[in-house]
Amino acid sequence: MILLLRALVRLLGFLLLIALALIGLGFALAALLGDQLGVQLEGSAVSRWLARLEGNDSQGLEAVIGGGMVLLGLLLLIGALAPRRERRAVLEQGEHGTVDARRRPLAQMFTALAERTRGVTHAKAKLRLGRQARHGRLVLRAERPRTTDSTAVREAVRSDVGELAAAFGLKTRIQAPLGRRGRRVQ
Amino acid sequence: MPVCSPAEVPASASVRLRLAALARAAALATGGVLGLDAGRAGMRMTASEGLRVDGVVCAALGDGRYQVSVHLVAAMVSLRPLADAVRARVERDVAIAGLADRLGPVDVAVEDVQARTEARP
Repeated sequence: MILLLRALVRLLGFLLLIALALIGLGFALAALLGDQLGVQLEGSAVSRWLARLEGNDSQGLEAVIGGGMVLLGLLLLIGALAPRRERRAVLEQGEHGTVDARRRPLAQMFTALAERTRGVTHAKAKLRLGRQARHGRLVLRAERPRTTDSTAVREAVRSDVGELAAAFGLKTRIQAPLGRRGRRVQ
Repeated sequence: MPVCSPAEVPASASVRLRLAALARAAALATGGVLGLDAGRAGMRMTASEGLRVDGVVCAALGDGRYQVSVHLVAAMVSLRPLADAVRARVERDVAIAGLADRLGPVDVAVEDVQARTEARP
């Protein structure tokens, strides 16, 4: 979520800067060369809109736009200021130091372990880490051929990855669907 | 200038830099460690006096010791024995260098895991 907001901040920041520069240039030209360029705000759509805002008419659309801009501003502030802290899988934490691993290589290890299991044609591990250390969830999808039993494959994979997952404090869920045609058993 | 071995660090260098260089060499000498990783921005390093040790962050603690964090790229091996081996080797090499009393906790961070590449003839 924070990554998405950061990307949004960068994109909107870039676009807003360009828009601001163009508007500023327009105002500057209108102020300096308004007469020569034939720019007159009197009777224009801008002046009519400003007059309507000052009047007693309904301003629902402006309120929605204003609220949206406030919300966008808050999101941009969160995206710009929120600290980006990478969640790591903690193996050990104590007075001698911490042993931890990044999410992606650990997921690769689980995938490799599952693919080594007998009866598995293809595996993919998804790892979600919690905010607290040693809290996370591992979902392992281990595909199998028709000739092997789903329960047997699940148990075999669990016995191969269970120790490592438990060491990192991960809750494990193993799925053993039928694999795609053409994939070979390890 | 990046430092590759403790021999490149002068004796007059800071304890922080000497510890980082020792930890780097010790980690690289441990079986199962394929390399050290300074991160995409190269921020995981210890720098002092124009020298730089990549992949090791050495931070001063309040009691005069230094916390050492080793950011490594591991082979497909069991991680806990690997971390224990790295930590033991760092502690041993630091003790040999006479800096055992300055060494605090040793963190081991696995930044990447790679399959060993076999040497081709």
